[in-house]
Order: sequence, then C-alpha cells, then structure tokens
Amino acid sequence: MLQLIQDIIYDVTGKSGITYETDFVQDLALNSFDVMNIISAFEEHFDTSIPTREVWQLHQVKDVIAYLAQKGFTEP
Amino acid sequence: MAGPAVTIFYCLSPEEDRQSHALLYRSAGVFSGLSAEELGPLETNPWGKPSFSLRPDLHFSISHSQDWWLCGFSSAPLGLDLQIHRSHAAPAVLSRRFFHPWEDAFLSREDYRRFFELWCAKESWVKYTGRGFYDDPASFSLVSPTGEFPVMEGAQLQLLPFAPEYSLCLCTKTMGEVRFSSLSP
Repeated sequence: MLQLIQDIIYDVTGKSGITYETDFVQDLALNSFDVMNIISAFEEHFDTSIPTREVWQLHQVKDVIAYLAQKGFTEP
Repeated sequence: MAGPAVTIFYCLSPEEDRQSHALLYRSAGVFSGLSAEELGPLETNPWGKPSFSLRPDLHFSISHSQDWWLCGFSSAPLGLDLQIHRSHAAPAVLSRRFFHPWEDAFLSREDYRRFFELWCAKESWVKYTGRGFYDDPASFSLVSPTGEFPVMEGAQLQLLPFAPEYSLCLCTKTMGEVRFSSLSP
C-alpha cells in the first residue's frame, strides 16, 4: 500500500521520498487543493467516494494506510 | 462604513511548512510590533484554525501555492487563499465531485475558466469561518441560484489580482482597505 500512496502522491504533486511517517502538511507542504486532487486520485483508483470530513483526520501516510485498511480497501 | 484594513504579506514559498511558522511570527511582528513571546504559541480551534494564544484578537490567514507564501492580518476575522492555475485532475472532474450543483453549473457555462477563482473563494470562506473543509465543500454554494458569483450572506469575497496564473481571494465580514507588503527573505 505504501508503494501505491507513493505513486499517487508523485503523480499528483511531483513529490517523492514518502515514508510511513511523512506528514502531508508539515513535510510535503501540501495545501487543500493538493489534498483534493489526491482524494480524487484515490477515489478513481478504488472506484469509491471518500467523505472529505474523514480526510482531515489523516495527517501522516501511516494514517491513510490504516484508514484504507479499516475501510476494506486493498490493492488489486 | 468600511471594515478593518487587511495587510497581506508575501514572499517566495518556503520548502517546508515548518519554515512557514517562522514567517508567520516575522510578519506578525512587522504588522503588530509584538514579539513572539508577546504573541504566545499557536493554538488551534477544533477544526484546526490557528491563532496566537496570547493575542487571539490579532487575526491572520496563511496561504501558499507553488512559488508564493502569503499571510493576511487584520483586527477582524479573515480568510485568504491563493492557488496556482494547475491541477492534476481536470477541473470539470473536481468541480462535479467537490462543488455545489449551482457552482458546477456556473463553471460549466464558463467552460471551467473560472474554476480556480471559485476554488479560492470557497477556501477563503472556510478559512474565514474557521471550519476548514470539515464540512463537505459541496454543501454550500458561493454562486447564487441566479448565477451571481462570488456571493455569501454575511461575508464579502474579494477576488484580488496578485500574479499571472494565480487566483487570490480574501473573505471578510466587511470590505476594508487591502495593502500588500513584500516580506524580505
């Protein structure tokens, strides 16, 4: 799942070097528009809709991995 | 009657958000004459909007996009948002997913040319309210049923010129003078 997240973030923002501990705002300096683009990319990849209010609780890459696992999303 | 003045400080974007913290305190010092000790550490409301713990009456709003970092200061609440005209997903896709149907219809009529203006206006509004995008961005519209933009009852949204290929919007309760001030590196 880390590889998928790395790929999506690179595609959307051009940023690399993502680890489990990477913080989207503190380390990558992403703004809300970047985050919306990333949500859109995840929704397209998993063919689902992710409620935006749940996204703002996810600060680090490991939070996204735990969230996706909790929702039952796995890599195809 | 004119509202409180707003001063917008700007400089080239820092590489990491941590540097934004230092820029905030520097610009707050220039605006108010107060030191970091007098401003106090930052605290956040339940939705993450920051304020100075010792001077919550000194209102500010930070925005950064690509090359630029901005921070607006005023004696009244404000929301500021800057966005470069660059998107991974097509504006039409993002508009249908994240915007209110009235907003999407408005953008569609304009062939999505005003997409970034609308995005900035929406973000400046949620920064002004202090709730961020905790609420679904499609749950409110800054386009009236008759197609006027930008409109929001109880607030003033000003689309301001800043730099080519960027949109900038300031949201305040009432319009006042807006000044820009360059922050030296």
